[in-house]
Amino acid sequence: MRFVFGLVVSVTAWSLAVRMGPIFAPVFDPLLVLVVYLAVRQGVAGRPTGPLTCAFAGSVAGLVHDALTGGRLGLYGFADTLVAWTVAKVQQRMVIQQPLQIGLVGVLASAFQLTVLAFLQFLLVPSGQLPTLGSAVLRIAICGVLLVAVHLLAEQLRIRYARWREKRWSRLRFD
Amino acid sequence: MGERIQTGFFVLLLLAHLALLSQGSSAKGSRFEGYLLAVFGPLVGAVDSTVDRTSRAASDLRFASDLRRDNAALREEVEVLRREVVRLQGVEEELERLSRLAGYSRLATGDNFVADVVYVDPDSWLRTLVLHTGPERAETNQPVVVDRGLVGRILVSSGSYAKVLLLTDRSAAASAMIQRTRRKGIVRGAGDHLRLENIPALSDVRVGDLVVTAGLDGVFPRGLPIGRVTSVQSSQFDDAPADSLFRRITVAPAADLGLLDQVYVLTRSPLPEEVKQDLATDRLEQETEDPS
Repeated sequence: MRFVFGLVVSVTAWSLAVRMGPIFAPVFDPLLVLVVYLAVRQGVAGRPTGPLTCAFAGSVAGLVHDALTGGRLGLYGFADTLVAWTVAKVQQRMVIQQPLQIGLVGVLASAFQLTVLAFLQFLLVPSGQLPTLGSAVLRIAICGVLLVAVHLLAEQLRIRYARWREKRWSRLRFD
Repeated sequence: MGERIQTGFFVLLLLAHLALLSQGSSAKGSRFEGYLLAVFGPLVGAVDSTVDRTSRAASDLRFASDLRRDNAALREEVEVLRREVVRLQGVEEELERLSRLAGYSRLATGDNFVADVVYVDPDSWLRTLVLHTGPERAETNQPVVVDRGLVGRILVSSGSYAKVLLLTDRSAAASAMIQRTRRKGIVRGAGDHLRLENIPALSDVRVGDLVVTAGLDGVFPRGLPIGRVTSVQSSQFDDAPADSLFRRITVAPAADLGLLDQVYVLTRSPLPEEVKQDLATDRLEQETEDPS
């Protein structure tokens, strides 16, 4: 359910960015941020998610990206699936909880996604245009920053929700 | 679920994507893409329409602030004009009183009605217009004006339509005077501008002088703005003959004749019919006496 909500928010954010100007579309990928965030947060607080669930989430997000961007279907689907699986596997082996670490994971995930995309385009879509170096760097940086921002926002919401629940419990008295 | 099974599923997922990729734009791929679009397309459409509505609302707000500013400016202008009307009413009353004392009878200023410009004669390039006068009936030779000045006169009238001869037409002319000096001459059409003729070479004329109707031609009432002097050539220096007694003066029309949407037709008959008939009879007699 949270993934569907995240997907809706990401698509909305992406549509807004595209409407703001054509320069935002190639450097802004909120669907990747969603996928990496889910992969990083898997396993925390006892969530029953694993690399395969993350890979499915990446798969769906990638296909949505493909459908909305009008590119070749399966291009982002393949790349995002691979990224989600890899990040989830890394998360299982390492403790990634600090904002800086999460940002670094976002940067690396975005770079990995771009590499996969470039490789697939080179193999399957020779006429496809690769992003320029500048836009690639910007895209990687934006992904890292957005991931940190989403993480901090989610943490804040979690803390506030926990406080609200505590207050609610303290008001209840059992005589 | 064991790690091997998970890895197997993952590989299957990747292979499925590769299969989709290899299909390219085939029917199956397109159908699948169509399903995805059917699910997420409305969301993107909703975002688009929301952004559109928001930007439209923002522009409406900007427009509203513009309207408020314009409204304030127009209110100020109305105040100024009201004061001017009160002042002019005083002047009018004073003039009436002085005219009565001096036994002077002024010409009636007459009424006017609005007419729409419905056709511009392309052959004569803005030198004749066709007006739709509605229920009002225009008559030949009635002056046609706009707020900035004189446009021309009614040439032909038929039902609720009337043809206007613009002042810039080469066959059009009007008695005129320079407002500053009251020097009188004749304004003639010259295509896109006007020429002021019969102004003596020694008279005082300057560029920028306002030229108004003199009211001596029996068609146009006195005081309608015609245009402003744009060039004055004295006969001694220009290509006019050296013995010319008159200046060559060019006048730019006060009314922008290329932007006419609506005009006013002055309904006052400048000359009584009896006087017109007398003049016509005199002219006829003159022509029969001197056939050359």
